Amino acid sequence: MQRRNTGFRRGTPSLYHHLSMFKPKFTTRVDNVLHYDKTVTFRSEIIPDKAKGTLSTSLLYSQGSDIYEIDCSLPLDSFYPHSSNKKKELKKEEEKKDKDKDGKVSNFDDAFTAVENKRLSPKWAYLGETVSKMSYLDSSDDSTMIAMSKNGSLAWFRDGIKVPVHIVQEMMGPATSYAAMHSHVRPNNLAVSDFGLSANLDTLVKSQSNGSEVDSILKIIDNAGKPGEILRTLHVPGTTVTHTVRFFDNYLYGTCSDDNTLRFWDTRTGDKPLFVLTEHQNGRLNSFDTSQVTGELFVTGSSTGVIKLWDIRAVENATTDLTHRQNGEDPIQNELVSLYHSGGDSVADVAFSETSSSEFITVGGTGNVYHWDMEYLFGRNDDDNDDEENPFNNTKTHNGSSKNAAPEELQGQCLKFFHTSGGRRTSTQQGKRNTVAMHPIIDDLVCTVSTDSQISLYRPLKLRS
Amino acid sequence: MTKTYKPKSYEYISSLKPRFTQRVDNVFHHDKAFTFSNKIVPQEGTLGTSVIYSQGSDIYEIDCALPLGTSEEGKKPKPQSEYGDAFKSVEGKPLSPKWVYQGETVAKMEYLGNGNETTLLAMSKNGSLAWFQEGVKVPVHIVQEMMGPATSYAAMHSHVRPNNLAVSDFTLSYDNETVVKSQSNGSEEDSILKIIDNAGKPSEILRTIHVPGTTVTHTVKFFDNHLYASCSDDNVIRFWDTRTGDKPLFILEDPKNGSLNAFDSSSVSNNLFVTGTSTGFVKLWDIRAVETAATDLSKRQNGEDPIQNEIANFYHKGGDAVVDVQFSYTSPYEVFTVGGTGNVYHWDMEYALGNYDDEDPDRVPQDASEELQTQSLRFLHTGGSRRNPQQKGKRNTVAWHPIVDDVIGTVDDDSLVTIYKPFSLEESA
Repeated sequence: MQRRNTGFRRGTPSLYHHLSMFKPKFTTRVDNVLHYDKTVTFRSEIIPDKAKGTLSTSLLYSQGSDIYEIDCSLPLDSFYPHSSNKKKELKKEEEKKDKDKDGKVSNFDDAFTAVENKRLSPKWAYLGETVSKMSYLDSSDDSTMIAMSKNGSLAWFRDGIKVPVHIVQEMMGPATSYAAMHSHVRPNNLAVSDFGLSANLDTLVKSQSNGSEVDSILKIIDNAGKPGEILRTLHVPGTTVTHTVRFFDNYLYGTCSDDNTLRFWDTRTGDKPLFVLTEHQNGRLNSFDTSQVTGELFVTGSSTGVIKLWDIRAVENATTDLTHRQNGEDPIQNELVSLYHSGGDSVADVAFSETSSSEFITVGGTGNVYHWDMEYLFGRNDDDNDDEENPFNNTKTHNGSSKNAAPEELQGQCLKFFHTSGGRRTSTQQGKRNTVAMHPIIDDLVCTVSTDSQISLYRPLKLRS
Repeated sequence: MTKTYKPKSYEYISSLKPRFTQRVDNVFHHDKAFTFSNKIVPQEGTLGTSVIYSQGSDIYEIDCALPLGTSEEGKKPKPQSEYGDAFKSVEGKPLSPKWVYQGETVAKMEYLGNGNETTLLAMSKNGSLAWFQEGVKVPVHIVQEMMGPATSYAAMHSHVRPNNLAVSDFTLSYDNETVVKSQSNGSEEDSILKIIDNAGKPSEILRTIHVPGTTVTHTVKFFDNHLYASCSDDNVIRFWDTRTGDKPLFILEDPKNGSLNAFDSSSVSNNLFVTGTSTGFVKLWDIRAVETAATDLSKRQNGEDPIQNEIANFYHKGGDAVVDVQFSYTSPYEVFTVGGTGNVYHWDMEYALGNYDDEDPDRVPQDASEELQTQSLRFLHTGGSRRNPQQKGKRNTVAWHPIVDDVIGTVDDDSLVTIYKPFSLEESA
C-alpha cells in the first residue's frame, strides 16, 4: 500500500478520467466577460439514460447578475461501469490521456455537446446585484436555490420564475457603509459575505461586514416556515470581516473571521459562541469548510498555503482540558494533520466532498485545484489512542518535535490529484472563492470556471494500488 | 365521511388494576402519568401495543392487545358492552418497573421509540428531566434542577400553594432534536424556559430564557422543528423560535373566560391549536390568523391591543374546568379535553373548520351554540360511575395512541388503567 519514495509533485497523477471544456455563448450581449464575477455550483439531480448511455446532470453558472443552467451529459458506462468492462474502460481512458500528455492537442470529452453552439439565456436574474455564491436546495418545495450578492443580499429562486421569490436585501447607506464598501482603499476585502445552510436546510446563517469597520454581523435566517425571515442578528466583536460560515449539522455552525479565530455557535444558544479556536500561525485564515459526511471534521486554509484538518471534538475537548496547561493559558488545540500547497500558493477556497468522509479539494491563489484524500491518515489514526501512539495528534507541542516524521510522505500519500487546466492558469491569475464545485452525488466530479468564462468539468483518474 | 358516535358505547374498553412486585403502601399517595409507546405488533386478530405508566418514581411498560375486529370487510361493528381482555396477558402478573427515576416523582413522559438513542423522556415534578434507554433501568442523561434557593425548595413545598408552583412541562421538536422545558423559578418572579439539546449532546442546556411577569409557565409545545409556544399564568401565550433572541415572536392574550389551564397544537395540521380554561371553555385557534392580527391595524389604533379571535369556542357542561387538552396524532380534527372531574370529552373540529375561512376574519369567532356544540362534542367518557366531582382531573393522565385511530388510554387516581375506543359508524356526509 505505501509507496514510500513517491515525491509528491512528481508522483501526483494528473490523468483525467473525464475532462470537458466549454465556453458559453449568450443571447444577451456581454461586453467583456472578464469584467463579471462568476461562480458555479451543481444541481443534485442526476438522470441516467441507459438507451443513450448517458448520465445527465446540470450545473448553475452565474455571471454578474445572470444565472444560467447548463446541462451536461456524461458517459454512463465510464461513471458506473459494469464490473466486467471496468478495467478495460479505465485502461482506454488512460491510454487516451497518455497520448494527450505526449503533446497532442487534447481531444476533450464531450459533456457539453448539447449546449455547445446554443446561445444561453439566463434562467434567473438578480437584477442590480453581482452574484457571489449560489447554493442549490435539493429537497425544498419552496425554492430551488439561494444566491448571495457581493453586498451580502440574499435571493431565493424557484424553477420557472426568473426573478427572486424572497429577498433579504442589505441596504446601501450608512448602515452597511456604502462608502467603506466602495472605497478604493480595500474594497474587496470589506465586501466579503458568506452564508451556510443547516444540514436539514431549515436554517441559514449569513455573515457580512458591517462597514463601520467595527463588528462583522451574523444573521440567522429562516428557510423553513418563512423563508427570508431574519430570526436573529449577532455581532462578532473585534472582527471586521467574517468571511466564512459553515454548518456541521442542523444547529451547530462555525464562523471564520479576520481575527484568525473560528467561532463555534449553536443557532439555539444565546449571543455567545460555544467555544473558539484561535490560529495565530501560518498567516491569515482564508477559508474553512466542514464535512457533511462525518459532521465532525473541518478544514482550514491560510494565505501562506497551509491546510489543516481538524476534529471538532478534539478542539472542543481541548478548551476544557487543563492537563497540559495552567488555567488562564490558551487552550492547546491541535490539528489532526497539516498539509501545504507547494510554492506558497495561498488557499483561496476549500470544499469537502459530499460523498466521501476523507476527500476534499483546495483551490490555490493561482487557480489550481488540489485533490486530497485522507484515507492514508485515517487508516493509521485512531481518535481514541493516546498521544504516544498517535503520530499525528497532539504531539508537536508536548514533545517539542513532531513525531510526524515524514511530512513529505504524508503529503505524497494524501495529495491525489492536481488540476492546472493545462497552461491556462498563471500565478498572476487570482483564484477565487465559489468558482470550483464538487458534485453532491457523483463521486469526484468537479466543475470550475475561470475568469474568462471557460467552464471545465472533470473527474480525476483514480489509480488504486 | 363523518364519524357518528353513539353516546356511551365503546367499540372496546379494557381495564387493568396493576399489581406490583414491590409493596406499594397506598397507591393514592403516588402521582401517576400515562402515555402510549409507539410499538404496534399485529398478531392473530389483535394488535399488540403497550402503555407506559408511571407511579411515583417507577415507570412500567404494560403490554396490551387491541381487538382488530372492525377492519374485517362486511362485518358491521357492534358496540361492546362488556369489558374486553386487552390486558389478559399481564393480568395477575405482578409488574416490576422498567425504568426508575430514583428520588423523583414522574409528572410527564414522552415516548420516542426504540430506533432512537433515547427511548423515553421523563420529567419530574420539580422540573428535572431524565433520558431513558431500552434495557437500562436508570437514566442515561439527566438535567437536574437543584433544590435550594435557586429553585426555592421553600416555595415549592410551602403549604400555601405547593402544587400551583411546582408546575413544569416540556416539549420535543418534530425532529426530536430540541427539547424546551418550562419551570417555575420559585422566587415567585419569573418562570424559566430552557432550550435543551437532544441531538448532538442530549441534555446539554443551550439557553435559558426568562418569561417576565409570570410565575408559572405550565405548558410548552412545539409547532414544528423550531417554532414553539409557552402558556403562562398571566393568561398569555407566547410564540418563540428556538433560533431567535430572548423575545417572543408574537403573543396572544386571552384575559376572558378564567385562567388558561391547558394548551396543545396539532401535529397533523401545524396551524391549529386549542386552549382550555378554568371555567370550562375550549377554544380552537389558527396560528396564522393570530400572527396576522398581531400586526393588523385596519380595525384598531396603534397602541391598542390586537384583535385576535379564535376560530370557534366550545364549553364543558357544568363549568367543568379544562385541565388538559390533546390533539389526535392521526387526525387534524380530533381533540380530547380532560375535565376537572376527570371526564374525557371527545371533540371533532371538522364542523367548525368547515365554517371557517382564513381569508374572512369577520366570521370568527363561532361562539358556542347548541348546534356547534352537538356537531362537535362527539363522545364523553366518564368511566362509568367511577368519577365524581371530588376527584381531580390531572394532566398527563390521558393519552391518544400515536398510531391507532381513536384509541385512548387513561389512568385513575387508584391506579386503574383503562384503554378504550369510542363506538363510531362511518357515514357519508
